[in-house]
Order: sequence, then C-alpha cells, then structure tokens
Amino acid sequence: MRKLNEVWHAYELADAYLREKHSAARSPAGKAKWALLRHISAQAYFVMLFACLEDRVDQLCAKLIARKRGQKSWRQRRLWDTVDLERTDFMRKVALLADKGEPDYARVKGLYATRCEIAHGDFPPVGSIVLPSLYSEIVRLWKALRP
Amino acid sequence: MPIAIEVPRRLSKREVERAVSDWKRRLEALYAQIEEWAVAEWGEGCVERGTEPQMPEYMLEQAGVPPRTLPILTLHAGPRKVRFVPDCLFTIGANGSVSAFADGRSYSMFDLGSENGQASNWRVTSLRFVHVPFSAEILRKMAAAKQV
Repeated sequence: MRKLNEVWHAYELADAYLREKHSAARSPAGKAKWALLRHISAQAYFVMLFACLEDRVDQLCAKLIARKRGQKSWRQRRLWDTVDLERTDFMRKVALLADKGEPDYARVKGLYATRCEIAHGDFPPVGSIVLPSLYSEIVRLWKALRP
Repeated sequence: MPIAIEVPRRLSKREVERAVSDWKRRLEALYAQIEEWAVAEWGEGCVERGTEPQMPEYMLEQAGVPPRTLPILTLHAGPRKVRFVPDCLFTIGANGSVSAFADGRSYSMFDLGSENGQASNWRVTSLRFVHVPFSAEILRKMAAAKQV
C-alpha cells in the first residue's frame, strides 16, 4: 500500500505542474501540447498503479495457495498442488481472489483491459484518464481482494 | 451504476454533440452551485463568468464535431482568486474533469455522477487529499489557499 501511495503522490505533484503549465499556455498549440503531456503522464502513472495491484494479487494468491497446500487431506489439496502461479495469467489469479460473477472481478477486468491497451503501446487516444478516480478504485480493490 | 473504467467505444456525431451539450449544462450547474455558496460567503458580485474554447479532444475530432466555447468561472474571495476551467469531457474513470487554480495551488475536479441521468457528483483532488466531495467547506478552503 505504501508503494501505491508513493506513486499517487508522485503523480499528483507531476500533474499539478502540468496543469499549471496547461492553464498558463496562451496559444491553442501550447494548450494542446500541455494537454497531451498530462494525458501521457496519467497513462504512465496508471500503469504503475496497476502494477502495484498486480503485485498485491500475486502476494495474495501465493498466500492462498500455501494455505491450501498445507491441508492434511490429499483430496483437499490435490488441485492446489497443480497450480503454478508463474504460469497463471493475471485474470485467473484474480478469479482465485474474487467471485467471477461479482462486480469486483469485473472492475479489475475493466482496469486490466485499459492497462493492457496502454502497456502494449496502443495509447488510447479516446478518453483522458482521470487518475484520482482510478487510484481510488485500485485502493478499494486492494482492500477488497481476499486470499 | 459504477463509472466506466475501460477505454470508451467511439461515438457517433450525434452522441458526441449530445455529450458536449450535456457537459455544458453540467458545468453551468456546477458554477451555479459555486455561485450560491460564494455569494453566501463573500457577498454579491464575487463571481465572474467567462468562456474559453473547449479543449480539442480525440472524440470530437473523430466525430467531426468542432470544439465549442465552454463556460469558466472566476471567484473573487477577498484578495484571493479561484479560477475554474474545464479540462476533458471524454475521460476514463469520470464524466469530465475541471481544473481549479487558486493563487499558486491547483486542484483537479471530476464528475463521478451523470451516468444514466444521475445528478453530478463532483470530487476534488489535490496533493493531500484524494476524492473529497466538493462542498461549500472545500470551496472555502480552496479560496483560503489552505492545502485541501
């Protein structure tokens, strides 16, 4: 959680600078330049915030698997013995921590889709990211996911 | 209904025009609320209205909708000034954002409501707080240049 807050703080400092510059620009070209930089900055920080959530999911899954593998009965632990976290894709890990039919799973999936668009180089020109809102959502999910 | 967090689909020209009209209406409603709070605190004439060209956005461009002028508001709170300027309408994680500048400090505001006919739900973010509901108290703090 500390890392998450540090990334947020770094973003807010950067965005405060960029929005001042954007506001101070006189020409439409100047305004467009600073708007674009704010847009890129929000996308970059969003990917970092999401990376913190990915790390959290990894840690919670490892905890869950260790607990399940610790069961005495082979019948109860046999499936868990076959789980290889390294080879499990992200949304499958999330499914270990949240019911696939519940809103939390859908919210992580939505954020993950946006993260993938950005992280794979397809910077979404449609829609500027409002990072404070997504940050709050990531914090909420951070607390909601359970091993 | 939770706010959209995924990259939005492309909109038709009519949808974009409707969204821009609604954005203008929501900004006017926000400023009317600010004016009401401001007049109660600093008296008549403390609010100055103006306009600025809408920020060019990809959604406008792809739908062939020219940017309009959008309302801005300047609050004169004694010797201090707070200026509210719209940012983007088409956003991921909110339904539009506004920047507020108060003598060396700035704030990011965003609307978490307004989906499916809901009322606006404006929030404020600054260095110290995230997601504070916008209220008369927060406006007073912004005008007092305290770090909100």
